[in-house]
Amino acid sequence: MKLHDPVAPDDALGDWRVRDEPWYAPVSDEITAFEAAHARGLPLMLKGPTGCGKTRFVEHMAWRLGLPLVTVACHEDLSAGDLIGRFLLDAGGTRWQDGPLTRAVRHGAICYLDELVEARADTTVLIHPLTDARRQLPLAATGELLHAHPDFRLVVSYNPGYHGVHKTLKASTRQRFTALEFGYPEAAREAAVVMHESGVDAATAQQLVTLAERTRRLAGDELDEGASTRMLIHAGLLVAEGRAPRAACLQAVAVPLTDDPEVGQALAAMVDACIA
Amino acid sequence: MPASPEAAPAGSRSLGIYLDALWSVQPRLAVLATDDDRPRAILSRAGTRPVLHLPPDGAQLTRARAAHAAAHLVHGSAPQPRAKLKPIQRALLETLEDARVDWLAMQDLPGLRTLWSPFHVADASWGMGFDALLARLAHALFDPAHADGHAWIAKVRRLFFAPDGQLALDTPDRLRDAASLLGHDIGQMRLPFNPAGWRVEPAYRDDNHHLWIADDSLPPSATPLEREDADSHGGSDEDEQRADRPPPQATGGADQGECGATALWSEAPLRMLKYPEWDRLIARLRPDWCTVIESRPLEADARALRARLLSAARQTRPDRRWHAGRPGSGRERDGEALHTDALIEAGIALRTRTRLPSRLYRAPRPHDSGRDVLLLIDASASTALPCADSRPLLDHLRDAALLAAHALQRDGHIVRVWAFASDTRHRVRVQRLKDERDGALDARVCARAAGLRSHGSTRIGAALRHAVAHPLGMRPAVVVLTDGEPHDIDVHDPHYLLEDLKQAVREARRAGVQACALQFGSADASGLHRAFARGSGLAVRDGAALDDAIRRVLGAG
Repeated sequence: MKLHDPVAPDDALGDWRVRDEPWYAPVSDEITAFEAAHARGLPLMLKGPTGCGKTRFVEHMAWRLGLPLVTVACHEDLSAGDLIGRFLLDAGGTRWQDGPLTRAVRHGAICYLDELVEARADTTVLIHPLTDARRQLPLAATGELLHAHPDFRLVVSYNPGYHGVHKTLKASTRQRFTALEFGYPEAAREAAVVMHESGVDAATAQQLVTLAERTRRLAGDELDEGASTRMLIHAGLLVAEGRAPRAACLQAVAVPLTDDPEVGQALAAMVDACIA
Repeated sequence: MPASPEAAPAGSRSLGIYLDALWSVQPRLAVLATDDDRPRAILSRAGTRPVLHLPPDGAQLTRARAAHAAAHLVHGSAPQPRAKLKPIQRALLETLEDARVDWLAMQDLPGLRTLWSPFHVADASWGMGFDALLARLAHALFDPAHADGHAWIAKVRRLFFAPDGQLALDTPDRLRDAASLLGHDIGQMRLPFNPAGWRVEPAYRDDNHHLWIADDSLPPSATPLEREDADSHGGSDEDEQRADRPPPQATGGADQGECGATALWSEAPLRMLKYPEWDRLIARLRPDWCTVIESRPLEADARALRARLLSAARQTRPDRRWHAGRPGSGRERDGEALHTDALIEAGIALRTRTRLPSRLYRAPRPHDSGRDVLLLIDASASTALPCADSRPLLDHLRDAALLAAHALQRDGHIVRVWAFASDTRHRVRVQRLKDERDGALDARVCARAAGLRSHGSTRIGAALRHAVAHPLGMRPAVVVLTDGEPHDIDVHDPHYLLEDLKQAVREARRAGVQACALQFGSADASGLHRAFARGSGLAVRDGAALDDAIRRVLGAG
């Protein structure tokens, strides 16, 4: 299925277009919710644990709406310049280069700020004038006031689970967004996702999901978070590559989840119990 | 007594996590002290919390035992009356129930077959006695592919499984009826049975006494049940703990409740708070175990101290690497703003066709906003020992903490300085020498610091929990300044408070607080360093190195 035209040759954001349909299995009415927010130009926040499919959902929606997708993985050293742009030096002197946010605002794209809460506070406030009726981005370095392209949309993701109490979005940022809550799919659906993405059989996928469900019981206590769907897909890919299921689960799930030796022992034993 | 009052099994934390995650059960784990050469685990379900007594054995057998006990807890039925069932029928019912809960557990967790399978070794070579037949039956019901060859075992298997491979004996009544029926078969075979000498097979299965309602009118069971009475009268979980065993670490002399007092610390408490403590022997937190008393610091004449600190502070220069809130002046390959001098050099290079400078941008600032740092001074008795300059170690800790606080505050960070010392778990005293609004070298702060005296012990875990519970701001950190490892007079196990400290550090991390420790002096404190995250526990030579050490450990977080 193709919902949009191929990339035009003069498309400034051609490299950011999603050419092939990203596979996505809806869990609820999130596609309708996204489309409604898009129709009204409302910014959207996706809340949910790591590896549950938020990024895949955004990719799918970008493809579905025929919009380029500019993704920025936020981190604590992400500066305003990293988002907006900076002056570069070339043979002719200095020249301004748009950052990813400016590029999306100028040319019209979905700008997806992944894990916004990780970004520095001074970076986060940059998006404020883009999230209300003004839809503007002031570029202090160039003196330009950029009015957002009609196709510009802002989507951020946020994992409220593992951040400490001091790492949360300010109300002044939070209240600018409409939000969708994501979680791990129920077992049968999650197994179907693992099967589709990794190519393992139904029995193996079911066992992987059982293991993940059990690790999630330790979230917030012995583990920051339980095993994600993404981890299960990694394990499934290793199995599909010929690794024994137990070894694949240790490699993709148990060992990455913790550095605590005792928790690690428990996870290894859980792998033994869940995987035939 | 089936349960040792002193110890939890080796690896009990890991085992507890395993059981909690896989079955959502949290039995208390205890070591089974027994002289039996074929011991079986004992599961008690009579109290408010199940207790699993595990014989000391290898990790694999211990895990197999724990998994089987969990299967009973999750899939087992309510205890039954023994009445009218003969010992042979009871043994049969236990074997069938074991097979049933194992089968159900393996439906959810198929890997358990691999865990339990090595213990099922009974076959025809075991003989034709009733004990041997039960073991062979257990094997045949566990593994439908196992060919035993005995007609009666084949009959039981047909009774146990439906033609589609599902369980046929899926209710307590059906199991009981089947056990009665099969008991008659054994009677007709004239097979003798000595219940007192019988052990459930295979070795990972528990003694099954929890399947039966205690009945005083009947002869005593072969399995020890004496704890059941105690447990059945237990009230809350904590009552059960207290009934089972005394607090492991307290002694009569040291654990005096609220009676003790000291003249060295102000005894007018501003507030008293209870915190849990990790008991490594039972692998769980004891709730509300330690009392932290916040009290007003005593003040003393601090004119000499303040003059000395002000003089020292003037001689130290701000550390630009850590200067919060101001732009950097160095050059980097990447950054937000171009470096003016670098641009001029680049312009010259372009015109002269020489090599362009590679670092064109102003160096980024390490952090835009200040950190919230709490320096926690250990003021225990051992810090009264004199250093090489004859001054007590506490003076060095205090001076170094205030100078470091002054430097950090000057660089835009929020800094608090507290002191702590303990006198058993009932009195972990904390005094605030400097709060966030105080200047580190204010006369009042120096007066409080000058009044600080060495006293008591070093219960770091409780003090750390208290510090973490305090509302902290951006990127918070607690830095403990101490001369050694945790210690207190009501604790005799050298690992106990270290394990509690590890747990407190884990809790801090979960709360988003970086916990670090700086150890002064020559004492071996390798355990202390291990309790903190890699790079967050450092040994420090002297106070002059403290400021730099704090920055290093904060940078490790």
